[in-house]
Parts: sequence; structure tokens; C-alpha cells
Amino acid sequence: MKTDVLIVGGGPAGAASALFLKRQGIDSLIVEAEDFPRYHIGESMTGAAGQLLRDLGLEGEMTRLRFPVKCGVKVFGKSSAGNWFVPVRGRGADGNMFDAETWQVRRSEFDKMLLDKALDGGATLIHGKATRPVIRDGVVKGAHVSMRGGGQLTIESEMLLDCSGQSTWLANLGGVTGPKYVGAYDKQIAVFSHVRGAIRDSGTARDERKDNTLIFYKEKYHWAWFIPIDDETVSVGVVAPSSLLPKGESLHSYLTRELPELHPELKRRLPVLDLVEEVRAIPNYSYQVRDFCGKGFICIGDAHRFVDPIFSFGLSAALREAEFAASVVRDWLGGKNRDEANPFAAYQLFCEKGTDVLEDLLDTFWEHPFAFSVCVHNKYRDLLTDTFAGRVYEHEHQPNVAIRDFRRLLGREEERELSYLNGSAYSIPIGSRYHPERAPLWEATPGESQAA
Amino acid sequence: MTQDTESTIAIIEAFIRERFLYDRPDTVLTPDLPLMEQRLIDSLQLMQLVQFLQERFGLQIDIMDLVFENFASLDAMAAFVTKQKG
Repeated sequence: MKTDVLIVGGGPAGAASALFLKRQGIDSLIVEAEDFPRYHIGESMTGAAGQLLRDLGLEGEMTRLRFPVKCGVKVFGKSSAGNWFVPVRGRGADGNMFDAETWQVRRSEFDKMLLDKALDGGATLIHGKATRPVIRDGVVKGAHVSMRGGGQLTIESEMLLDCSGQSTWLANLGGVTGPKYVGAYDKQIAVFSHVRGAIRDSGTARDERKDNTLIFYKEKYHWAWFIPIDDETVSVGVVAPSSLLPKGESLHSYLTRELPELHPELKRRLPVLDLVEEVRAIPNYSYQVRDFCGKGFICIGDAHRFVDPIFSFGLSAALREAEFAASVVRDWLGGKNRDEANPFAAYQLFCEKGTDVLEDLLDTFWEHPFAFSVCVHNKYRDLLTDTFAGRVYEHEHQPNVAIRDFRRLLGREEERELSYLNGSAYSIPIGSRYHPERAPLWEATPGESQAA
Repeated sequence: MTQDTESTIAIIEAFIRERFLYDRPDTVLTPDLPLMEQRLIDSLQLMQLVQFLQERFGLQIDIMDLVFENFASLDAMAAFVTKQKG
């Protein structure tokens, strides 16, 4: 079987890639192992992600499916300190900011809707699991697929998009991408489920709307999310250092015990703990893959990097990278850059620079909370509202002066600049340097200096 | 303590009393009292205080100066204001 574009993974990165490619007049083949609908984590999104869905003409679908409308995020700090609200705001072409909205989603429904749209648009679905890529003369030319009904299929492609999400298919295989490093937020674990009977905010003011995201933090790196995903159901999750999970305690026990203990405001909103979903966990969710593009392939979204869930950037990254990928794939199919060592260096840099801005935002939030609060509320309010909205890939505006100040505060200005100048267009992984006690995946290649 | 510092402290104290301690008028505030530590103000109120200092004294506060130590007590704030204007 042959195709111009082979997409591994039918989640948001893969489905959105197919949709954006269709706009370039390019059809694709999507390989997906699971039957949709299926459960998936990652239920809130930024304003920018919402805007991309509108750009794809999907606002009607989002409304029809009655996904909750998110006007912002309310953050509850250490018990006595009250709360602060980060609104979702758009920015117009004229530079003016305006109140905007985005969505919370039950991923089983959202992912199915997106994949169905991609298939309606002409993409073809193959029910199977990609096992290994086909590589000829150093160029990825397709993949071997283990079919759901049994048997093997080899699909030849001109271009392969690894949209395999947290399972990081190509990175795990080795020999195609560079190594997968621990990210800045490794050694954390997220434990989560869905509940009924939770008490939401209620009110007409934007910061009181019933479907907003609520975040509660107890201590550094220890927090909980509260994300309404329909009229009765709220997604709840606790994120904490993995070392805090008592050995032998079940996930169910941990979550039901932790939620009311984490913050009095959260306890108040969960008078009963009626769990309506399995309790799941994702440990060590933070990683960064080096050299995630090459001849005949790129990785999109979680397939190459995930930092931390707290600011809901995951879906945003998948959609935005998929959008940018469409034009570079079109160029590749048209014969461009075929002789370059990394034909997708520009795409790679685009992704890295964007996620680096998010990482700097996150690290400042945890490491310098006072300076961060003053900047969010006062000193750099609009610039940080932009950043929270997911507008981190607009490289003519980012890093904005707030992010540049954060880099100064974190002592990493020079390092960010240096990493973008190096030929492989790859940002230096923060993880093991930021937390030197965790360095198992860090390998300094010969001649490369490891930052202190 | 200079006249200037004294009046700076007085201005800041007046703001704190009016904005945060209006229901506790008998609170004793010495210049070296650590306000957050003593739970007289919380972190959200501290941010409002920083905003007040910027506006009232015309300060441009660099991010590297946004540390608790500069705002821990009336003394600390007065010293910070004086340094910024100097």
C-alpha cells in the first residue's frame, strides 16, 4: 500500500494533521490501534486551541456536542491566600485584546469527532498498530503495521507523521530520532478520574462561570485540577511528586484520600466523592525528544515533547504544530529540502521555541511564585494573558518581555539563545540540569558542554 | 532614621492599616515586624501592596527585585523605596 502521507496515531495531533493537510489538497492515511471512542486524559485547552478549532470550521460541532465553555482558570493558592483568575482572552489583528472562550472536552467524544471529520474529509483509516518504520538510505519511507484483524501490512509513504502521543513511538524505537530525555517535570505522577456531585462556581461574571477550570495547589509541585466535562461530570486529578505516593496504596484509595486533603476549597466542592470513571495514573509524564525530525518524518505534539499539564497546553501544542506541519509537508512532497540533513529544521525550531516559552512560564510559576504573581497581575498582565492563551508560537512576538524577564530570573537567557543557534535547531533539555539528581537519560554528546 | 524614611514608613503603614487592617485598628506595627510571617497580610495582599508602592512612589521594579526580602517589613519597604529613588 502506498500513500503520500502516513499518519501514525488518530488522536488530536493525527486527526488535526489530516484536516490541515486536506486544506493543502493532500489526502492522508491514518493508522490507529484503538477503537474510538476511547478514554483519554488532557481535557482542557487554551484559548489558542479553541481558535484553531474555529479556524478548522469546527465551532458548530463543538457547540452541537455541548462541550463546556471555558472562560478562564481560577487558581487557589495556599489555603489562606485567596484565588486569582486568568481569563481567556484573544488578540485581534489590530493588537487589541478581547474576552474569548474555549472549551473543556470529554476526550473520548472530542477525539472521535476530530477523527470522523478527518475521515469525512477524505483521510483513510487503517485499524492497526505501527510496529517499525521502513527506512531506505537513511530516509523514512513508510511503516510496518500489525493489523487489528491479524496479519501485517507494509505501507509506503513519502512522508510519515508520528502523532503517537505519550507513547512516543519513533523515539522509543531508537535509531530514528535522537534520545528521549527526562523533562523538567519528571518524577511527578498524575492520578485522575471523573466525579459526579461536585459543586462548581455559578454566576454570570466570567470568573464565576460554572465550566471554568479550577486549579488548587497545596505545595510546590503538588496540586489538583477540577475540569467540568459535561453538566454533571467533573474531571479531577492530583499531581504530585511520585515519592509521595505511599507504596501499596491503590490509586483509588490515594485519590479519594488526597482530594479533600489537598485544599479546603477543593474539599468544599467535593462533598461526596462519586467516582464514575476508573482511577488512572500517568507517572513520569515529562520528557523531550532530541532531533525529532529527519528525512521523511516529523513528530507532532506529545510524540516528541510534554512538559506539564498545569496550564493545559498539550492539545494546543498538538493542534498548532499540526497546522504548521501541513505547509512543511506540502513543501517536502513538492521536492523541497530533499538534500538537507534535517529537512524540517525550521519546523523543529518552531516547536521547540514555542514549548520553551511554556516551560519558562511554568518554571517561574513554581520557582519564583511571588515575582510570578506580580507579573501576572500587574507588571506584565496582557503579555502573560497572551502567553496563557497559548500564543507562544508567534515568534515575532515571543519571547515577549515578560518571558525574557523570566529567563533572566531563571538564569537561562543565554542558554536559550545559544541552543537556537546550534545547527540542530534543538533546545537544550532543562530536566536534568534543573534537577541534577535526576539525570538517567541525559547524555552529553562528545564536545557538547553540559550547562552547570 | 531619616525624616524621609520616617515619612515613607508612615505612608506605607497608613495604606496597610486602611486597606488590610481596617477591622483590627489596635494592631501594633513596628517598622521591623515581618508582616507576612506574622500573618498580618497574605500573598494576594502583598501584591496589592507592591502595586501601591509602584504607583505612590513612581517606581519601576525590576523582576530581580521582586523578592520577599524587599517587602518583608515596613523598614524593608522603606529602604527599597529609598534605594529605587536614589
